[in-house]
Amino acid sequence: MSQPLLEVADLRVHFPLKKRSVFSAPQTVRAVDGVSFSVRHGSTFGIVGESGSGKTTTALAVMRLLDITAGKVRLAGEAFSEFQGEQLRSARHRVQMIFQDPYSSLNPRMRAGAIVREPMQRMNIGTESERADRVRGLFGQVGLRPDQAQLFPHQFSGGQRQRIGIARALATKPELVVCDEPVSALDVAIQAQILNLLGALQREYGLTYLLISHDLGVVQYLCDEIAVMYLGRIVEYSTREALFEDPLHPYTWALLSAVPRMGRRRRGAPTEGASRMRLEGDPPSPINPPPGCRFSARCPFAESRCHAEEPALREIRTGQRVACHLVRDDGTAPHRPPLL
Amino acid sequence: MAALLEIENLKVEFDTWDGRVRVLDGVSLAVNAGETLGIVGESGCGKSMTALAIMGLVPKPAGHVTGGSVRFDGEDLLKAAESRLREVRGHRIAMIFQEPMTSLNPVFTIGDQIAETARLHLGLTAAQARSRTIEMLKAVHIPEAERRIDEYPHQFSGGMRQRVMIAMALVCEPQVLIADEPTTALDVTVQAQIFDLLQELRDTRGTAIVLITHDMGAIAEMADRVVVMYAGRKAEEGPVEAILGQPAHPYTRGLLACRPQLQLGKGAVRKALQEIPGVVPPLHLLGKGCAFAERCPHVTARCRDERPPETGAGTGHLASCWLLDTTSDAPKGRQAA
Amino acid sequence: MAETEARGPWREAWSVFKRNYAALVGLGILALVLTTAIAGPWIYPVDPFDIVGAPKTPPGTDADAVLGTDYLGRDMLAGLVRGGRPTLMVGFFAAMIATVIGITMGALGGYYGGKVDALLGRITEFFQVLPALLFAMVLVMLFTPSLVTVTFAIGFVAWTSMARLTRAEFLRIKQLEYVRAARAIGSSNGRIIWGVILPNALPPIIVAATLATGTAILFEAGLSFLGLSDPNMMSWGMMIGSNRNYLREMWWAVTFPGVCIFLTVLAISLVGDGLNDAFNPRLRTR
Repeated sequence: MSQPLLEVADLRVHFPLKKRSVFSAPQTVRAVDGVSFSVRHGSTFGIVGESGSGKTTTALAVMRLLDITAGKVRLAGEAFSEFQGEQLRSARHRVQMIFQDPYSSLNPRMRAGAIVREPMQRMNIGTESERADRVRGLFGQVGLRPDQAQLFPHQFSGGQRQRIGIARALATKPELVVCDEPVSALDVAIQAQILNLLGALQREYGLTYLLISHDLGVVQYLCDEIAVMYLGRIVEYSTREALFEDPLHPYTWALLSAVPRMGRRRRGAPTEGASRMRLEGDPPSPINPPPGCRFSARCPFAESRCHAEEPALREIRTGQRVACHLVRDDGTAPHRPPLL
Repeated sequence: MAALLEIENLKVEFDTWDGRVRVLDGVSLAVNAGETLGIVGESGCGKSMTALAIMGLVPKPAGHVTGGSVRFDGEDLLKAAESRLREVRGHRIAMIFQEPMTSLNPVFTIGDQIAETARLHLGLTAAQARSRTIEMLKAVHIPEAERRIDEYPHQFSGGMRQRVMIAMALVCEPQVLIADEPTTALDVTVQAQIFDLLQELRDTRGTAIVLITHDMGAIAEMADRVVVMYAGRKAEEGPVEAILGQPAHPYTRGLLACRPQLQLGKGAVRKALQEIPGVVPPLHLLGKGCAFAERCPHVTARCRDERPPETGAGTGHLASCWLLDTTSDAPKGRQAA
Repeated sequence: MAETEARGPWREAWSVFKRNYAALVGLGILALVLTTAIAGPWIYPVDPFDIVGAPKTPPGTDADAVLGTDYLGRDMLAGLVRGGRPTLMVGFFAAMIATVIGITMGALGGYYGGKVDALLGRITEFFQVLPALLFAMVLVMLFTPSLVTVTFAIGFVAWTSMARLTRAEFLRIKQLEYVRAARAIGSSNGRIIWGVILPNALPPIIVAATLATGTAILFEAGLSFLGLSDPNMMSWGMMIGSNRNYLREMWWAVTFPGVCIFLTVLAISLVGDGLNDAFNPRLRTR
């Protein structure tokens, strides 16, 4: 594995904000502010964070569905972020997306089969009969009956609609599939069906996923490597094993301890209280973020240095990087509460 | 001891184009003071409708309560007059909703909205209502309550808005607080804050909480007792330890196994998720047997033909399933999960 | 789901529409009016400009003119039969012009946003604040009054509400994920505007266009009443306009065409309401 499939280098996406009045200074939303990561062939890379962290913006920028302010996106070594016009249009089949909301992601006026066939038509892939064959094949692969191709989206359940969305994303045989919260809009009992399907498709066809999620359980289940984002920055970047075994960033601790879990009861044993780490308030806005570490305003352990100086992402051990002043070079984090 | 809120054999029907559909079919449950009852299930299982029926807010004219009783403090609310219901609603039983943005009126300050409830139900003067409002905002840990009372809903973040909703619900010191997916629209760190707050209110004020959710994790953290609902019927009920530890109903076992659970520490393993096949059947197509029969991995002929009764003994752990081992005290699945 | 029959959104809307009693009545009246307007001249081949009897003959007194004659002795029934066609044509084509202009302005503004939207928005506002009837009168008087100029004049003053509606729909739909999905497969802006968003924005636009037809007919009647209509075409509005001075002595000369206009516009409104219900998913699920 020499070259990663996807390399993102110092990606920045800034949006100008409408001025409140003619006299006020222009403001910028720094939705993504210097994000770098790379995704290996056939692996799943997860970006996890809360609302406003910039995870979805990152995904859309990688897809070239948003204008990139600065930085590079390389796809199999090619400068995908530099592609323009026809070159970009014809390269779009290489990256496809599975959307969050199965109810708004399918055009209600098109039949299911046409929805899956459309990407191939737009990009002139195959002949008419080859496309029809592929649509039939895809329906089978995602667990739908081929005769359902003639139905309209509203005739399907949420889980089935998400299967149509997956079939559409796979129609052009993309190298990279971006999954934006693929199960968060689905009923709990349906989520397992879709997660298992994503896993099975990856094993069978060697797909590469970029998974965007706020759900740490889903991320742990599917991902090989994970980036934790906060306010447009990656605060921790780690393999799955390391992240859940030995999380380093205080924000990761807070996220992990906030997830409700089976087998941990709030009432009863008083020692459990010590393992909980609570954050005050809400994430600040990505408009004019605070100087220094972006998490410093909510970090219970922040020191004066944290408010002044932005920590860089540095490698603590193989496969684990963190952006925090408080983590020592040997990987010890003196403040970490017991998380189990 | 009579429970504070007791629902018995509640039946609610809805007129739809597919005919009349029973959205709640013989649901019984009880909540005691100072207790958190979790109601868990997929969308369309009737958990929100149960809450609306308690509040006397079943949508008219399509919805009809066709049977059963909702006893609050000994009084049957289904037989109560609308004026009496208005008195109970908001005052004795309060409710908070999933979407804190749309639950607040954007053209009034949050202070006005909370104070209105206080004036309406408690007969306070404007000044008294205002100080009571500030007190409530402080109780839900909104910083700078004296200043923020005069702000509008859009000036609050999602988590803060949910706190405002809770403050509004608590202003009359209700005995029951119904929380319908209160954190679904919120980030996980904010959800933890809201759960802490609800827990604190229950412990300090003795408010009974009915927590409606689809998340077994939230149930595990918050609930004392759990009701699992499926297709308008109660599948299983019991103390939270029993439901999580020895789930008896195949649907409950499915719900517990179908979501990836976060595992911390060494030796986390990726277990394949168990799927519950298919989807919830449309209510008008339910057969005469068990509602879960079509999706159940252990289904028998009897399950399709006859509706299973609720069985269980002593411990308050009940389940509606033909496959239970009825010889032991607690219901227990015959098949290993 | 056991369902395998493909039921498209349009067919589903029709199944709702046909349960609406009032809308079906409207559709029936409209069909009657249309049939008369198209086939009437063959069934009742009397020239409405021919003088067939004594002026001001009341209805029911002359077998040659069952509904009486107007102030010149022209047959009222012939006027009603012939007058439907220009009235409906003006209404229909004016509404179509308004819809085409409105959709174009609204779609471009809503989709591109920013400066395009600001510019088109200003133009829309400009037309919106013009006194519509006065502006239409000026347009008709600038050119000679004819069916075409009247149609264009009405179309030019009636498109603003359509533009605002289309823009609002585009703003809503362009945020939906299927539009993003279309972009992700490299669809062009034109394809997304006309092929993806517009078909989904159509239902409320169709309702508005239907209602706009009614409005345009009323407009035409107003212009005709003021004498601004094609002098070579008998229309209902023109009948009212030319007989208005004799209103007190001959009630029938204005009542009959007035009732025709009223029924036609009412029928169109009922159909429009029915379409609105049929396309409105909230009512559909009850």
